[in-house]
Amino acid sequence: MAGLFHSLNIGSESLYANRQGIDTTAHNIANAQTEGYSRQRVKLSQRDPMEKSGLLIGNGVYVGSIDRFHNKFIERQINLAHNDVGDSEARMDTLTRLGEIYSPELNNSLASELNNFFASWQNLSKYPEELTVRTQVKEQGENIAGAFRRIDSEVRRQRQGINEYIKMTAEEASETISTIANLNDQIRQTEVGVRNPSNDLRDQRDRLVRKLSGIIDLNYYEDADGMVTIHGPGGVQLVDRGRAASIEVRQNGENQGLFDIIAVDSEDSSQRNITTTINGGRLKGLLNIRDVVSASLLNSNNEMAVKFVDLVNSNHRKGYGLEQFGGTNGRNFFDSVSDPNFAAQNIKLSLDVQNSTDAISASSLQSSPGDNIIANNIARIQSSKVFTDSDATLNEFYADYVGVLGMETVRVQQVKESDQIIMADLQSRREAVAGVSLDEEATNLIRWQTAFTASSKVVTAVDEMLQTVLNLKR
Amino acid sequence: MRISERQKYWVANRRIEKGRTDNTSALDILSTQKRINKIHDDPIGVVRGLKLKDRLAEIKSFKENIDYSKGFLDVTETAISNLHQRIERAQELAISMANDTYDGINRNITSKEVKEIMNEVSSLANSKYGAKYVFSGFRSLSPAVDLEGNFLGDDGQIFLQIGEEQYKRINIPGRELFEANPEERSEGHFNLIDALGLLLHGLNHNDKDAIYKSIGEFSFQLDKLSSFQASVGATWKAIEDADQKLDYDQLQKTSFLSKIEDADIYKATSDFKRTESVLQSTLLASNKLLQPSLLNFLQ
Repeated sequence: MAGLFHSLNIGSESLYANRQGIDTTAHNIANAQTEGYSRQRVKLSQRDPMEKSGLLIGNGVYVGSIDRFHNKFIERQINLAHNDVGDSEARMDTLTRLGEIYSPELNNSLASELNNFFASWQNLSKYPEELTVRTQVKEQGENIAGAFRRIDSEVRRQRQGINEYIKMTAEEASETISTIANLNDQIRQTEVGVRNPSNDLRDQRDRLVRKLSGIIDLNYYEDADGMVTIHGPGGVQLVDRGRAASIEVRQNGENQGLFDIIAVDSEDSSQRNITTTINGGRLKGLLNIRDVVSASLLNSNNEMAVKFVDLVNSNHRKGYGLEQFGGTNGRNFFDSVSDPNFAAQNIKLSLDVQNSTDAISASSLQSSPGDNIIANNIARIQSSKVFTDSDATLNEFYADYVGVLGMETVRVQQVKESDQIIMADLQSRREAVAGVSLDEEATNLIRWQTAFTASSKVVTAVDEMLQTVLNLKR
Repeated sequence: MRISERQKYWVANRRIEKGRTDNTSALDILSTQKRINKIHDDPIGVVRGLKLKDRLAEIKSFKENIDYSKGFLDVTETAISNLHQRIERAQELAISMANDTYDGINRNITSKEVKEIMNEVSSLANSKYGAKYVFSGFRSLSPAVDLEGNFLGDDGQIFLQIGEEQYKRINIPGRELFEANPEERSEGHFNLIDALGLLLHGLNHNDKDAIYKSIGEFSFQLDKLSSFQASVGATWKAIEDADQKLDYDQLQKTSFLSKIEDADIYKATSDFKRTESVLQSTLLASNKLLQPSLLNFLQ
C-alpha cells in the first residue's frame, strides 16, 4: 500500500512546487516596475530516486532554489558609469546656473554697463560743463559698480548653494553607507541554513551601492559570507561587514569657510579628510565647480575690477573738477582697491563723487570748465589693450572669460551626453537580463497553472484509486 | 533581445523627453528670434557678439561726437562768415569815407554805423553752442571777448574722438582770431576789434590818415577770417569722411552681429514644426506601444 501513498506524495509535492512557480511569477509581476528589482526564477530539482524491487523509481520534484537573474560584470560597469554620470550631471547642472549670470539675454550685463559707462564719458567730453551729463556719468559709475558687485555676489551665492548641496550629498552618502552595512548583517543572518541567496535583500544592497557610486568613487568586493566591503576615495574604508564609516563635513577656514569632506571611521572614530582625494561621482563634480570654476570666475571678475578701478582712478586723479573742485586734483572716481581679492565686492564711487557731481574731473587744467582732456583719456580706456599679457581690452577680457565658461559648459554637456548614452546602454543590457517582461510572466503563469492543474489530476486519480482499493472488501 | 517592462517605459520616456527638449529649444529660438539664448548655445558666437557690441557702442559714441562737432562747427562757421561780412562792410565804409567829398559831419554820422558793427562783432565773437562759448577755449562758460573787445578766453584745444585713435580739434583758436600775435603786432597790425576802433577814431576825429590805415588793416583781418573759415571747412570735411567710414563700419558690424545672434526665421519655424510633429508621433507611438501585453489576450 506504501506505493499508493507514495504516488499521492509525488502529486502533492508537485502541487507545492508548481504553486511556488505561480508565487514567484506573481512576485515578478508585482515588482515589474520596482527600481533595482531582478526577476527571480524557481529552479525545480528532481528528488533522488529510490530503489524498489530492484528498480530505481523516480521520487518526484522539489524546489531546488529560487535564483535571481543577475550579472555581476554588467553591475560593476553600471557602477562605473554611475560614477561618471554623477560627476558630469552635477557639473552640467551647476555650470548652467553659473552661465545664467552671464546670460546674453541680460540687459544690464557687465559688458553693456561698461559700454554705457564709457559712452557717458564720451558724452562728458562734449559737455564737460553740464550738470545733467555729470549726473549721467555718476549714475553710470554706480551702475558699472553694481554690475561688478552683482557678478561677484551671484557667483558667491551659487557657490554657497553648491556648498549646501555638498553637505546634503555627504549626508546622503553617509546614510546610504550605513544602510548598506545593515543590509550586510541582514543578508548574512537570513542566508544562514537556507538553500538560496537572499535575492530581495541583495537587490536592495546592489541598488544602494549603485546609488553610492553615483556620489563618490569606490571599490568593492563580496566576501565569503556574502557581505560586501567598500573602500572609498584614496582607499578609505567605508563599509566593513556590518560597520559603516560616516561622511561628514567641516568648515575649512583656509577655503573661505567652505566645507571639507571628512570620513569618520566606525571603529576608532579616526577622521580622514578626503576632499582632495575624491575622484568621481557627484561630489567630485560639485567640488570641481565650487573650488575651481567659481573660484576662477571670481578671480577674473576681481582682476577686471582692479584693472578698471585703477585705470579710471589714475586718469581721474590728474583732473580738475568744477566750482569748489576746480582748483584741486588728486581725487579718485572709485574708492581705491584695498584688497585685490575683494575688489569687485567692494567697488563703489568715491565719497567726493558721491557727494557732488562737480568732483567729477574732466579737465586737465585748473578752473577750465570746457577742458575735456581727462574725459577723453578716460573714455579712451574702452578701446585700450589694458591687459598686456592677453592683449585685450576690458570688454574683450570679459568676453574671453565668459567664452571660456561657455566652452567648458559645452564640453561638459558633451561628456554628460556620452556618459548618459553609455549608462542607458548598460542599463538596457542589465534590463535584458534582470528586467521583468509581462509577456514572459504571462506564459509562465500558463506554464505553472497547467502543471498545477495536471498535478491536481494526479492527486484526484490517486484518491479514486484509494477508493477503489477500499471498495475491494465489500 | 529581451525587452522588459521597465525598459519599455524607459525607452518611451527617453524618446518623449528628447522630443520635448528639442521642441522646447526650437520654441525658444522661435519666440526670442535669437539663435543664442544661453552662453553654451554657442560660446564662440557669444564672444564675438560681445566684442562686436563693444565696437558698435563705441561707434555710436563716435557718431554722437560727430553730430555734436558738426553743430559746433556750424555755429563757428556762421559766426566767422558773419564777422567776415561785418568787416567787409566796415572796409566799404572806410573806402567811401576816405573820399575827400565827405566832410567831418558825414564821417561823424557814419561812425554810428561803425559803432554798431563793433557791437555786432563782439556779440558774434561771443557765439554760443549750447552752454559753450565757441571761441573761449577751455573757459567755455565765460564770453570770449568783453565789451571793449579784449579776448578773455584761453588757448584750450577741444578735441573729440571721432574714430578709433582719431581725435579732431573742433574749436578754432579764438585768441589768434581776435588778437594780433607779437609778430603781427611788430608788422603794425591790430586786434580785430582795434581795427574797427581805428576806423571809428578816424571818423570821429575826421582823421583821413587813420581811415586810410584802417582800410589796409581790414584787408589783413579779412584774410585772417578767410583762412579760419577755410580751416573750419577742412575740419568739417574730415569729420564728414570719418562719419561715412563709421556708417559703413556700423552697417557691416550690425549685419555681422545679426548673423551671429539672430535666428534664421524660416529655419526656426520649420525646426519648430518638425520637432513638434516628431514629438506628437512619439507620443502616439508610445501610447500604442505601452498598452498591449500577452495578458491582454489571455482570458
